[in-house]
Amino acid sequence: MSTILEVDNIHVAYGRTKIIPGLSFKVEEGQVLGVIGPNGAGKTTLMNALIGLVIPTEGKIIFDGMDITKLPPDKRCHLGLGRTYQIPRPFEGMTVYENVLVGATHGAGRTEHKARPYCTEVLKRTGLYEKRDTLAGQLTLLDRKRLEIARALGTDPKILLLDEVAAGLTDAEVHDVMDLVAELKKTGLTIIWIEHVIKTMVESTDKLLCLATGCLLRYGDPKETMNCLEVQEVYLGVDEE
Amino acid sequence: MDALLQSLIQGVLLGGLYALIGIGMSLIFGIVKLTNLAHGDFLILASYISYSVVAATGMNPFVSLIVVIPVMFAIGYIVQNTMLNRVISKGAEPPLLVTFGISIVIQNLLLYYYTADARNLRSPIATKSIIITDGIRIPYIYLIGFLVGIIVIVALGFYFRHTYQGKAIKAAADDREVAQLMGVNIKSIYGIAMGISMTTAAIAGVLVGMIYNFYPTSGSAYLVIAFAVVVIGGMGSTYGTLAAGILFGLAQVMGAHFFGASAQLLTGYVVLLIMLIFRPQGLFQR
Ligand SMILES: Nc1ncnc2c1ncn2[C@@H]1O[C@H](COP(=O)(O)OP(=O)(O)O)[C@@H](O)[C@H]1O
Ligand SMILES: [Mg+2]
Repeated sequence: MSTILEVDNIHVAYGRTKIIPGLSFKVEEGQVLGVIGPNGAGKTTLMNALIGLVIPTEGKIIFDGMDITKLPPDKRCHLGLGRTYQIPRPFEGMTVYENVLVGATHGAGRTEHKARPYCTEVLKRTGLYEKRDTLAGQLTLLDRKRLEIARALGTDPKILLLDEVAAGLTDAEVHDVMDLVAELKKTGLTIIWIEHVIKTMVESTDKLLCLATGCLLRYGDPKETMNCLEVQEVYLGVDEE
Repeated sequence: MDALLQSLIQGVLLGGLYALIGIGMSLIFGIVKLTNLAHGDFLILASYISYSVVAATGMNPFVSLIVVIPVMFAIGYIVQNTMLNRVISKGAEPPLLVTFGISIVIQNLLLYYYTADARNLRSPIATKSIIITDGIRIPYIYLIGFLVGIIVIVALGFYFRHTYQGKAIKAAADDREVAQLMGVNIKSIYGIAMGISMTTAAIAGVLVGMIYNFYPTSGSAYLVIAFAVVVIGGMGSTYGTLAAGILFGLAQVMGAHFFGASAQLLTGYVVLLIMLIFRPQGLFQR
């Protein structure tokens, strides 16, 4: 197995507020890396740095053997990084299909003609095909979460970054989303998966990384990470929904 | 009765031209989230470019558009990429101030090259009318302005809905950050949007140049019209701009009809002010 992503001692700040004071880890191709940590730990910030919305002040991000630390988000998308938002941000005035089409053409470099069957496949896989002509602004939360994933898949990613896809969903809906992620894993996609529902994370990830105030508390086997004392302390008093 | 009908027709036709004057500004507001204070000056710049082309070749001002449109598109693309894109991430004010600077530079460039003398693009068609009855006449040039306004706006609507570049522009207008994550090169998209905006300014500039005299400082008056149309229509709404242009044109011409010619501008701006107070989001904002 080869390393597809290497994060090397990155420091991330919003303006003067330092959020991540030096963080390193590696992700192997085809693996699912879970990222857990309490609210405000810097999970979304880490994702923003990986995707290029914020540029680390120090350190390097190597993707597929290439230094992408300073690349803008659209270039990273072309290389194969896709993400979802914790709070879905669909293009509300466009249909579900068009939402996926934008990334499938501009992100994956397909012509519209070639993108069409691909979009259809992605929509079927994410359970949105029946709603392809619905305006994205009219979707339920579950479908918006699905659209986040569909849109990211449309760009043909090598790594998919999921930011709390299960947050805000009912138990049954969480199950749906978990199944979808499991399906995606089978296709060999590398996934970095931020989530708060810890129980499921242990079952469905290959490696688990725990963040607290921007620092790496523990990184390794999911069960070992969960059983580690520091991690348990961080989660003490936090409900395991 | 004829006089009222004549005013109604004139107001609607004028409105199509107003929509054309405002549509480019509306686009840039909707897509780049930028109030382009130089929009009127760009429009007049196009009038002058057409003037030079006509003077050099003797071609009809309409035909000069085959030169003026590409030149204005290029100017828009370059201005966006070399100036505005540089400051776009620094908040709302810096790009606004840059457009203000561009406005002043254009006015002074025009003053330098063309002097302060009045110019126009008069052609024989500007004075001809279709005579319906004794009291009702439709001036050709206004009819053309109206039709061109509609064609441009419908074409833009089609472009945004049915081309993949148009969809990227729509996506970028909706959520710039997410559009980037979908692989859309936002700076290039903004450049194209400004090019399109300047294309509409080119067409509007040639039309108004055929109807009215223009001076290096005339842009300010057109900025105000564009601004009025954009505000009434709801910032960034394409078809709203068309409806707003017609409403604004009607308000002006009806004002002139009932209160005398000197009230034309006043009634237009009173309607604008009422709009700003009661529906600041515009009549047609989704
Ligand atoms: N755009 C921002 N500007 C300044 N501070 C931010 C911004 N976004 C998040 N933060 C702060 O950064 C910290 C980490 O936030 P975040 O990465 O969203 O945490 P998590 O996703 O783990 O809940 C929080 O203290 C938050 O308040
Ligand atoms: Mg978060």
